[in-house]
Amino acid sequence: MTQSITMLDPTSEKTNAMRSRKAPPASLDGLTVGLLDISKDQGDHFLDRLEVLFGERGIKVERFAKPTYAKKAPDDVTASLAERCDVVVEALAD
Amino acid sequence: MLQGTRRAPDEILGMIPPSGEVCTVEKAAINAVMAGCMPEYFPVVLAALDAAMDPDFAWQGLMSTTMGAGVCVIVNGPIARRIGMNWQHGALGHGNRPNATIARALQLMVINLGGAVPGGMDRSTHGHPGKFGLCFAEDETDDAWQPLAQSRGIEPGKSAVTVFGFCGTSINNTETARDADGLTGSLSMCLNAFFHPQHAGGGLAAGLVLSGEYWGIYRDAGWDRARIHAALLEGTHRTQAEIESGVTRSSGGASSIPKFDPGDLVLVRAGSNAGLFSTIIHGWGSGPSGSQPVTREIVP
Repeated sequence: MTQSITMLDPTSEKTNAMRSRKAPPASLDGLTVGLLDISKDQGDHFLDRLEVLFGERGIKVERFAKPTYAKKAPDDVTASLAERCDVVVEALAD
Repeated sequence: MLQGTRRAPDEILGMIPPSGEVCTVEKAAINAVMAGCMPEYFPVVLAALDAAMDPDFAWQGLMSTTMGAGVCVIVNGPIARRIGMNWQHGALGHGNRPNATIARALQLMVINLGGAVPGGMDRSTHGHPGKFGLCFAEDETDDAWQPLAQSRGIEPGKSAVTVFGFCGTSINNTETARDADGLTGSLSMCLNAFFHPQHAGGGLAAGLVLSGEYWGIYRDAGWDRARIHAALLEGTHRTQAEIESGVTRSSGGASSIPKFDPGDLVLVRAGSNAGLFSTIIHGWGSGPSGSQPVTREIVP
């Protein structure tokens, strides 16, 4: 006696497209560095210091912030990062 | 499992964090089967899922935080009795099928659909046993106690779930507090120790589960949910001197600093009628910038 078994998949049954990582630039000369504060305690201290250090080297910096680390960045923040920056430093932890 | 709902299998329910994969009724049902749910639990699962996907709950943050948060599901109303849930002995523990499987179904969804694998998108430092899923019903057998769902706007007689992001539980015991004021002082000490004794100024949520004997002390004194809640908020205020060093959120030198923002302390009744215990359900970052409890009516 044969028995038919139907297997169901608990996952989304999709495979995410993998994109290769963008190669890091050889130099930051002429590039814009975005500094993203996710609103973790004292992340701004770290980014303040980086802004000074980048400034001393003549590198243009733009600051961005998530309203809260608990939720994903609003679309306008990620869009602005993509449009205005070549490189991003994200301060993740407190 | 799909016999437990009138909703179509291909109905899209929303996106499951952290990866944001789409969840249909059918996918929710498959994960509910894997969790061990019976079809009659499925409306509770779907209501809990809808509540968890509310942006106020910040499910994505809860499932990816280093703090290792999970989802606690608290069930109110007639459905709890109808599907045989436990609100008495060991309600927060093992031994009851709906208690054991409803929140587990949600956790399987964030693993199977959301990709919340430890070390992957789940960045928990330690995690905790409750990440398997914590679900229990509230004890509504005493009319003097306003059920959690009614305190959050659900009409009496309706069934509802409340989801609460949590990072473990701890049990507290005192056998010397014999009146309402003494018990409030005792419970306030325990609540002030939650997360860290020097944490003050709000920003973290806690659930407090009162056993039958503790509720009895308050009931005999004529206290209700609102009065207990207000007394505990007041009882967990401390002076700057008491929490002088190491505060994680400065309150600007106020002389009386609260432990909690009012909406972040959630009172629940569960447990047997023997035992002078309370359990603190350790919340996560709270308020609009964190995770807020969310309540949904359960629609059959």
